[in-house]
Amino acid sequence: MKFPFSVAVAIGIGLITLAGYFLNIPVLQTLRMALIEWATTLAAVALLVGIANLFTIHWNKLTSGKVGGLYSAILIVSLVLTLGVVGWFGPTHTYSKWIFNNVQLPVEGSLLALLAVILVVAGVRLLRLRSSMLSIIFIITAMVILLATGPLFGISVPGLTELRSWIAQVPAMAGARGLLLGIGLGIVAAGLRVLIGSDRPYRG
Amino acid sequence: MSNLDIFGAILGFALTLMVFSYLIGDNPLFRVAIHIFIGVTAGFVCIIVINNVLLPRMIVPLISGSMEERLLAIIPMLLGWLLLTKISPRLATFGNIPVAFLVGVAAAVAIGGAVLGTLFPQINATIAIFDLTTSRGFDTNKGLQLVNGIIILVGTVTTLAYFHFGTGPQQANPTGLQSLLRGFNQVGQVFIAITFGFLFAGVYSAAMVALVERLSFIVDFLKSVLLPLLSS
Amino acid sequence: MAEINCPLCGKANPDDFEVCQYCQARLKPLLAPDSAEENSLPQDETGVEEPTSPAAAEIPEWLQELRQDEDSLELEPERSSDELAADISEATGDAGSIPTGTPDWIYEVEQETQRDFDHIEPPPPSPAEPGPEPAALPDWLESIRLGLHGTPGLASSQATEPVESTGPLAGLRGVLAADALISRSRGPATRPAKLRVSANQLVHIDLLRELVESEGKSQPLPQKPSISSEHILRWGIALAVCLAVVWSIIFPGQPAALPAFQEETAELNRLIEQLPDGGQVLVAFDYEPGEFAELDAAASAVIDHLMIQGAYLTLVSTTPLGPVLAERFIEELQPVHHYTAGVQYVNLGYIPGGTASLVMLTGNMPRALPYTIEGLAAWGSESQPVLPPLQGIQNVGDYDLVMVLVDDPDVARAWVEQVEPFISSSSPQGSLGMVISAQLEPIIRPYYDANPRQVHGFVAGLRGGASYARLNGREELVRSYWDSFGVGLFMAVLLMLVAGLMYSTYPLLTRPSKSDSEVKG
Repeated sequence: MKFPFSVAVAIGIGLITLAGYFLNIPVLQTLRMALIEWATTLAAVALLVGIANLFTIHWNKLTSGKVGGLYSAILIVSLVLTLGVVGWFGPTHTYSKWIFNNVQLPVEGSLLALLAVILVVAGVRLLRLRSSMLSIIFIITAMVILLATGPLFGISVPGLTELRSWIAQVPAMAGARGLLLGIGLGIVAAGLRVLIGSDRPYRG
Repeated sequence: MSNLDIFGAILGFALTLMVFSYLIGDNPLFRVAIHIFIGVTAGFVCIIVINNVLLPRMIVPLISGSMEERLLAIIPMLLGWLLLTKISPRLATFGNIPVAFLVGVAAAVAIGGAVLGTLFPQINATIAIFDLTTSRGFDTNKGLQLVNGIIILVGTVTTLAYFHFGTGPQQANPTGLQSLLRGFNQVGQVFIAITFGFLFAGVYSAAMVALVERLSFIVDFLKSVLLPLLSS
Repeated sequence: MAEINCPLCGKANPDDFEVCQYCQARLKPLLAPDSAEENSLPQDETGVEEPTSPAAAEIPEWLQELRQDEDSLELEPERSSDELAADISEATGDAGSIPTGTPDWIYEVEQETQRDFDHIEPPPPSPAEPGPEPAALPDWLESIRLGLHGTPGLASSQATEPVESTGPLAGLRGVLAADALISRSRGPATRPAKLRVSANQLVHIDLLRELVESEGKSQPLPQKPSISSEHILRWGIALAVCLAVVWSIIFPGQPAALPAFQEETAELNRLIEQLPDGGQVLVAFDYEPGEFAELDAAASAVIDHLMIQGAYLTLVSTTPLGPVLAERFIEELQPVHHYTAGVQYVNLGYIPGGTASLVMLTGNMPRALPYTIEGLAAWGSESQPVLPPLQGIQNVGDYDLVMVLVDDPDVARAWVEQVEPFISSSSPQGSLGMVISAQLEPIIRPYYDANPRQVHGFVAGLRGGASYARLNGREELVRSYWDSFGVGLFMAVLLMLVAGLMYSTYPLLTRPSKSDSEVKG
């Protein structure tokens, strides 16, 4: 089949939604909103399917006795307990918040905190492996911004804050604006390929 | 402090140390903490999605909505069922329809947003950089403003040029345009280096706040929970 | 005598040996027909059937090329990553979008950062997804996001499972398969009607079984050094940074001054100051729980200011855990204002769909978010009037101020692209303000510096939050981090500076030793 139904769906739905951005026709706006509402609901269903899949994968690992089954058991127990507590009492109940505050936040916060060490190691390695002009510009910019971001033991280095402001508002902003425009152009190109059917990422 | 609070603090303390143990090397304690965390996250997400989306948008309209609301609720439900067929290889073709639906909407939303929200306004901002009537906080005089404007324009154009024309192989006898683009690339890379340096510093700052918070928590825990427990 | 190399340990053995004299793995099956001969066998003998699914038979050209490139990823490990990335980009026909050609020196930083996590979780070969979003985002944005969300991930046993790229589990592997489920672009698996096993396959099965069984036996493999200079480097840095921070927490010195206000911070302050009595503000909690320390500190003084102004708050989130973060923020960080759910504020919870969800806010909000997080009818019913924070609200353009607390560059960009044009076109006094993680400052700055402004004021990271706190005098939370934060940053810079000087002074140190390379490899 050269032109399957799914391609027609993607192109038709996409064009209606896109037209809603540029044409202020009430019927079109209503249709666009309905399509987006269904899409967002569908995204939520996809999230649940993902969680079901997660459960299945780890359940299979647990029951098949593979290496790492203990970890799967831990995951399933914590998932089921959380489902039970949050599902029964509601996500804003004291018990649910207790789980959130004492499991979710410490673990995620600690994972991010690890980066404070890992990134220094990365910076050191960069200097160790390669000392090109660009990597030196990169690392010097990073050091200047870091020094100017914190309080620096209360010492005021003349011109440091002004230098930070200038980097933020002139060269770094220029680079970021170039990147944003590049991203924008890339999105338009990739999106249009979907809308003319030349890219079909939904093909199974 | 109630017993529940104390137990919570002990749990948070233990999990923090388990994650930090990764600094020594990958180990079972770290993996246990990660698996607990994934389970808890998935549990919360599941309940919030059901409570916040599925019940009000699909279930409630079907039970107590008008005929129109019921019809509108049936379509996402149908698409959701089709999505489930993706799990089965035999039926996966049917699952392509809801995925195509999602991709079509996502593509259109992304294009609309990029054009109206980034491309037009940011191109306009790049052109308007020489508008000396607008005041900018860091520019004290018009001459400096002009110089900064030129730097921003050059930086924006060369960065964009680097990302769009930057990765071709070098030729022995480049044409005039290729030489120009190569020059653009080199200037663009300097601006990218500065921007990435700024981004690196930003990511590091965020991580440092997290580290300070976690270490403060550990110090507070040792002071307020562990020491009294040990001394009693 | 001819020799044959062992498939397991690689050592040479006389060709009449049945098993390897070093590791006991079977050698003989290697004398079976090689893969080229095998491929030349008739189809019925190999037992491989042609794909029967029409979908599989019509693999798009770009996908076939992509698969070929995936093969080349495995076959040509000596090729540089940039070359491979360029191949992938070319294979997808991605001429118009951002090439994956990150400058190679930046690429090294990403690789170095990633390597710390990758020894437990090697990154899967990542052919460019042909969907709109993945093809459009440059590597650096992805890598930073991946790095930020914790990332150390799961056991190597799960290396074949996909890495989450979005949501609260971003960076973790094999967690939720929804994304892969939606975006996978492979044909359905084709299965032969019945199992046929040829003699060749039996030989290979035998070899595989031998290999698997031999895994349990002790092998005379060379001992790798358990501690390398890389480990020592990491431990040294971890110790130095952590000790410096802990020292500053236990023995605080003279508190350092908070930074002077910045232009963008003062703008946000002005916007809040100008809110009318009983002004209505939409506050989006769009950050991951891991960022709570930074965003709490940055937003604390801002939300405090909103409450001092007596603003009615509507809380929403496009991340699933955002509603819980929002509730926690109001109750635990701002108890002095006694804001009550359903009276001064309303938590409308989670709105799914990422970027598309923001379009919903520009349409019919009562339809998009009908209930509060507690399950109450937020927009009124026969027995209950509309909750005060939502009176007169139909869409996001009706708010006096939209305030987004965000840590993800894509989410921040989505708010600017989808919501800001609607706000500016529907209400002259409506504004978009942001409290952002420090990493977003360069991304948001161009929107702030546009004319007209697309972001009307923002607070970036702890520094921005400290600057705002100095403006309105609510310094408690920021103050608790500020001095230690400075010590930590200084130590990081010092370590990088010392290392840089050391490596430039002693060039012999600039390359890792052979044993390090082996360990890392």
